[in-house]
Amino acid sequence: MTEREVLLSTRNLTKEYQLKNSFGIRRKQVVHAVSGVSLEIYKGETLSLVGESGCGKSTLGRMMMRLIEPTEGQIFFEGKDITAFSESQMIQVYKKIQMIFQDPYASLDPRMKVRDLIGEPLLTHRVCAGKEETDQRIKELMHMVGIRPELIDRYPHQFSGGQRQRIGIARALALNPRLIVCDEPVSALDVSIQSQILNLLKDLQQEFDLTYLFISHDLGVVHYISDRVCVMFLGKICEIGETGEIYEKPLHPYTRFLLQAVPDMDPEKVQKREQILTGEIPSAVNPPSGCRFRTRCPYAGDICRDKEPEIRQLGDRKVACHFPLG
Amino acid sequence: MEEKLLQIQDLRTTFYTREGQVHAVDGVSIEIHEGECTGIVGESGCGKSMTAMSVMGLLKKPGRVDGGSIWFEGQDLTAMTPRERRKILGNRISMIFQEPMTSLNPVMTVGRQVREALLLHNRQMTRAEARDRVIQSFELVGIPDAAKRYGEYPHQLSGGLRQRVMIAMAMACDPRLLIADEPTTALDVTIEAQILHLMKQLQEEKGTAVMMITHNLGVVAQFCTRLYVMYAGKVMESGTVQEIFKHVCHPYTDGLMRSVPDMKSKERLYNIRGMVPNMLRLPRGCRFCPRCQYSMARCFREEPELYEAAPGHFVRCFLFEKEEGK
Repeated sequence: MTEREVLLSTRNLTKEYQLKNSFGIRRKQVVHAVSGVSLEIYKGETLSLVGESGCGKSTLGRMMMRLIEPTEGQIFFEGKDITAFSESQMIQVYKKIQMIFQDPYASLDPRMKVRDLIGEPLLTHRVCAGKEETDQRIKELMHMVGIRPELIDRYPHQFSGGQRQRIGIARALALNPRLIVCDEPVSALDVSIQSQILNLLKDLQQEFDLTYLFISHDLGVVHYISDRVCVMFLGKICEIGETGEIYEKPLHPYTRFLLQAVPDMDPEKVQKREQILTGEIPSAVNPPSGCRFRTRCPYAGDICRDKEPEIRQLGDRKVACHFPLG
Repeated sequence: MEEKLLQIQDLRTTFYTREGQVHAVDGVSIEIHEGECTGIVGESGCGKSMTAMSVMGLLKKPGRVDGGSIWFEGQDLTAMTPRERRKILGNRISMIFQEPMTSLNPVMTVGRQVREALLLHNRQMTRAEARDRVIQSFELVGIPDAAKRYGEYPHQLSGGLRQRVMIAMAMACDPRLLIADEPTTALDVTIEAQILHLMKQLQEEKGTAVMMITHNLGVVAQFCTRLYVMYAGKVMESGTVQEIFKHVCHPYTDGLMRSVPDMKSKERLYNIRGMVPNMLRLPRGCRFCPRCQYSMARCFREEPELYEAAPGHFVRCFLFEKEEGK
């Protein structure tokens, strides 16, 4: 791997939520949503965060944009520490980091027309001079994401789910961002629409040299879209590396079970019982001691209970496991 | 094995809305054989859930079964009084739903809910007997600490456990047919694999036939032996899973299969152009033709019938009319 330019990185990023009782009084219990995550996002790549619900992937994605304030740790964007940036400084950063949300029904204001939805970021950041230029830019963006510019005065409810997602993408693209955080952008869509949106995202990436942080639980989608994958379990990184290598030869036991759990499209490849992970996802309030995956892991030994595995470099990959699969 | 348990013939379910009639299920014929698992696949709005709701007699107000018949164990369900039908539903035919939280009563313990279903159909059973049966069935579906869980409320259980409770409830009366409407869509991959494995095991042990409604082709490949593909209220292709996955015929099924990222290749995904038609304004001729890459002038004029492409493999496409062939 050649030296590549880091666009965004995190150092020891942590988010803990204090639980409160029904009177609003703080209890001693703490939800460990994300614990000590350090990773780099390189310029022009797609890095995917995968994991099951509650693993902290969305929290991590939002923390990188400072939509959620981290409890601990730092975020660097284009070499600058943005963790302590003021609101006005962040506005400049938001020109370069944008987000696409999961639910295209909830993320668009139903009382705004397409013109206003896509035009809003342009107005806020005053990037276009005059009404005509703004209109032209809105139409250009609509064309880019495959919505007929004549529909500029329609409301979101007049569009289907896939088209709404396209509007959401146009809105994110409006300011020519460097990084787009895509939080489950295709999980609410039908299969035939999902592939259209995935291809659109790929095309846009090539055209505008975009960097994606792609958050998803769908391993098929992740394989298709990403250059590198970061597998998370209960707020921690299990494994991070090149997509092809991880899918071919997972080193962390959790990654392997996750991959085997996906129902295969070939009816002749029957899933075997020993390939199915037993047990439930442990609670983030009282995560298991040592390795957080150990209660479900068939390979766990004593050391997994006593000592938390450090993340270590194995070839091109980083793995947090005492007994990585060979 | 060859015995037909459920035979849906030319079923028509219509919704009478203010804007017009929506033929959600438009002349669908489906056969389910004793002890076999049959998959019904399609995207949202294709009528797969409405077919199931028609069988269960659970259609909500503007919807009505307009024509056709539903034969179950030699009786026509559509000709029965609601009272007669209730004896069969939940007893001989039962159903599990996508979101287990909304189908369980939040203010009743899960044990009592399952016990209620059991007592309703077994009048001579005492409460204590029923309780024991429920705990047994909880153990059967793999709920740990079954006796303790009996007295818990749905919100105390995880999504996977709730779905297990739903399965226990559905299987309580040893039904001949289980209708599963997207039973694993709301679950994480590793939990999905557990639930599918459990359903398969119960199906094999008890010989229950399953009607699996899903949008996930992987689930069908792994779980089902027979398959119906639906689009805009009609069956487009049907046959055994082995046959269809090996020799897919209908352009829609083919497009659907090629739209799913398969974790093996990174080749550009196939896109079915356009989107699902508005059910109020269906295209003339073949419903899929505006999106089909093989459509001919004839497809826009006439509606194709189901042609037998290979023994037992039916396709609703002119390309497979007997003389021509592909």
